[in-house]
Amino acid sequence: MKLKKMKNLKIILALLMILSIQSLSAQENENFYFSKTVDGTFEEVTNKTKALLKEQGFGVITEIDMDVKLKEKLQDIEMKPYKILGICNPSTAYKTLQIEENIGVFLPCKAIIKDMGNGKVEVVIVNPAALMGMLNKAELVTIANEVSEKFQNTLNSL
Amino acid sequence: MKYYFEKTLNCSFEEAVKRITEELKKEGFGVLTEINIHEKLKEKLGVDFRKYSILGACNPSFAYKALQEEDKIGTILPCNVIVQQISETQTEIAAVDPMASMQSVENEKLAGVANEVQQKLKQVIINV
Repeated sequence: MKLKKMKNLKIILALLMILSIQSLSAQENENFYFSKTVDGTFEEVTNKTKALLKEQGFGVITEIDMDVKLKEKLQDIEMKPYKILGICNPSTAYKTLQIEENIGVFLPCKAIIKDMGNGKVEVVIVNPAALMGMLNKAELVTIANEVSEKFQNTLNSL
Repeated sequence: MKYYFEKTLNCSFEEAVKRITEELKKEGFGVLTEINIHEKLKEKLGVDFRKYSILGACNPSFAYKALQEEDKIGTILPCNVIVQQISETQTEIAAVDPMASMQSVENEKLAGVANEVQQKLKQVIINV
């Protein structure tokens, strides 16, 4: 009886190991962003993205017009409209700060609105799982995966 | 893996924010965004949190170079420096290690820029 239990335990352990190796390699191969290109004006797509993020529980807490900033500081550069939005869900941010106090160096999550020209606009949102995978904390990976799903929902509705 | 450079300063939170902003400027970084996390958390969740600011620092030349190598790099820009109150007279400062965040991007062309920015941010933390 005891021997059988030991054998079962070994099988379970072996399965767990295989599963964890698979999930680790999945993290490594993960892209650092999600993106979608849509038709519309830069302003329309920006507003729609903000509204959809809000539906998923994310507020926009910072907004940088990178093209404007860079043109102001550097001479003779050409750059199409490129906006970086800092997006944040307060409860999630609070939870992650309690797990990892210096996580603020990666917060808030970023979404980019990029003018591609010819009436096309690309929306790119960071994949938090790609960054959090680096920190080797299972709790953070779980939260990051939940957030990733919401970002993918946002782009799917766009 | 470690993803930041940090230092504890013997000064108030407000003084630390001022000092780090000045040092960043000396190395060519402007502060584009400033989020007072403790205020946001109080406002949205009604919780008390230690004074905690996230400064979004950007060096225009490096940002432009990085954007030319990788057009989606904006998802990890600007580089953050955080300021956290430990006590009335002690404050911790931490700057992101750009080599760590670039690792998730897996674009070898970025290594050069990330390395230069890393050196500059390290210098800021040493000098502050």
